[in-house]
Amino acid sequence: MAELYRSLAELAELVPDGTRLCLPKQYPFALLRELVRQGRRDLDIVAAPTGNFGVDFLVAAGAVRSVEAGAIHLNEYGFALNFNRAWEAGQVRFIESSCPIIEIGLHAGSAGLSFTPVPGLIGSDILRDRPDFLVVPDPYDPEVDVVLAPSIAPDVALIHGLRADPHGNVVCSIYNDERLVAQASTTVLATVEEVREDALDVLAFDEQVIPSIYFDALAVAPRGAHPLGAHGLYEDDHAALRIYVQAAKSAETMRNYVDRVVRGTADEAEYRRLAVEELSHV
Amino acid sequence: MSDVRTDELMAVLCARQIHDWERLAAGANSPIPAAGVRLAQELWAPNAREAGSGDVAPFIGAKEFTQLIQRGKVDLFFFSAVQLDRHGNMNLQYVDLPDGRRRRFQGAFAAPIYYYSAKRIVMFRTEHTPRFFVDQVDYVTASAASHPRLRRHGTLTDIITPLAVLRYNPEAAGIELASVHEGHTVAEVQAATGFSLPLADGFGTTVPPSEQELEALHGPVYDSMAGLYPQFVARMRSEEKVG
Repeated sequence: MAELYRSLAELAELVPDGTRLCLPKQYPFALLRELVRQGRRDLDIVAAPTGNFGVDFLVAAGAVRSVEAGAIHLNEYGFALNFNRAWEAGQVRFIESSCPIIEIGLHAGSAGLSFTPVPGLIGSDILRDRPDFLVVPDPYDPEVDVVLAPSIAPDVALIHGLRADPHGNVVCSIYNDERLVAQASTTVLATVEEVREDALDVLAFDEQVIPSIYFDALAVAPRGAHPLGAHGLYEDDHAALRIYVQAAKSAETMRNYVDRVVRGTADEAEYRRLAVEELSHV
Repeated sequence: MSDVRTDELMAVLCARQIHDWERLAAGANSPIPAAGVRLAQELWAPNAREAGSGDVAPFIGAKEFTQLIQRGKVDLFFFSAVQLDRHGNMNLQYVDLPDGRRRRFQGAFAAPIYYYSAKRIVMFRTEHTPRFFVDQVDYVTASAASHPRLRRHGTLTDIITPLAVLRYNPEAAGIELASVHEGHTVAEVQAATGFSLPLADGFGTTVPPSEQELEALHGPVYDSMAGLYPQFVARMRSEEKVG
C-alpha cells in the first residue's frame, strides 16, 4: 500500500503530461524542478490567482502548454521574461482571466458546481477573448445582465507547506490560496519544509492548518521554496533570483540556466549544494 | 520622475479623496497613495481602514478582499493603468506596436471586476502624457461607462497626475479637466492629453497643500512609512532639508 509521505520523485510521477495544474504563489519549487527533471510536458497551468517565478520557470523549461492567470510577472523584478517571450513566439497560450475570476471559479469548483456568475466584466475585451464566458439576463433580476464563467476544478494542485504533522496536516501561511486550491482540485500534493509531531501545537496569527483529508501524497523538501522564500522561515534569495532574471533575458541563456541548475542536478540534495556554492553568494 | 514637491502635492490630493470611516485599498508598492492614506488618517480620517496595511490584520487568501469589494463594501480603490481613454476605459494588458505586433504587459489583475465593484475608483499616475491619455485604449481591461443592464457599485471618479486633476463625468461618459496645479496651464495639460478635455463644472486651480498638510506629511506620515518605503522617505526628506 502506498504511503502518505513519499519521495519527491514519486510525487512528481503523480503529475502526468497534459495535467491541468493549479499553483498558488508559495511554490513547491523543489517539486517543480523535479517535474522538469522528469521531462514533463503540455501542462495547463491555473495560477492562483497570479503567477511569478514558478510559472515562468516551468514555461522556460518547455513544460507548459497554456497558462490561465490574472497576471504573470517576476514580482519586484518586473515582466515575466520567459513567459512573454514564449507567448510572443506562439509556444505557450495565455488564457485571459482576472484574479477574482480565478478565485470565484475555484470557489465554485470547490463546491462541485459547474459554473458561476461573475460580477463586473461587461464592456471588457476579456469577454471577446473568452467565448466560454456567457452574458445572460440575471434569472433573479432580469433587468440586468450577468456574466457566467465555467468553474475551475484543476486535476492537480501543488502546495508548499511550512511544516506538517505525521498525519499529513499541513501548516501554511494565510497570505496565499493553498486552502482554496486544495478544496477545488481533484488530486492535491504538497511538499513541506519539515515533519514534526508538534507541528500544529502553536500557530502564528498568520498561519493556518490545511486538513490532511485533502492530501493524496506529501514529500519532505527542506528549502523547497528556493529561490523564493518560505513565509516566516527564510526570505527570497535575491542573489539567486538576480541570476535567474539575468539568465531570462535571452532564450539561450535561460536554456543554459535550466540545463545547469535543474537538468544538471540529479536531485534536490545536489541542487541545494549548487545553490549554496554558486547561486546564493554571487 | 516627478519632483518632490509634485509628489507631495499628489500625496495630499490622494489624501483629500479619503473620508473618515471609509474602507479602502491602494495597490502594493505605491508610496504616494500610501502617504495619502496615512495623511488622511492623521488629519481627518482616523477611522479610515486600509486593507492590507499593518493596522488591519491580514485576510485569509486573496479571495477574502475580493468578496468584500464585490459586495460593495469598499469605498475607495486607488488604481493605475497603462492607458486610459476619453471614455474612462482602462487598459492594463496590451499596447499595439507600430509594426502591428502587440506588446504584452503583466495581465488584467483584478481590474475587470474591481473597476465595477469599488464605490469610487481614483486613478493615480506619475506621468501625464499622450501615451497614457489616449483617444481609445488598445485593449479594454475594464470600462467606466454605465448602461441600464449593467450592475455596478461605482466607477472611476478622479485621475490625479503631476499636472492636474481630471474627472470622469458619468452623464457625458467622458473625462474632463477638474483643476490644474499651480505653475501649469490648461494649454499645457491639453497638449499632454491625447483627446480634447472639456472643463468640468467648478473648474479652477488645484488648492495647494496647506501648512497643516505639509507638517503632518513631513512628521508623522513619513515616520510611519519609513519601514515599508525607506527609499521614498529618504528621498522626500533629503529634498526637504535642501528646500
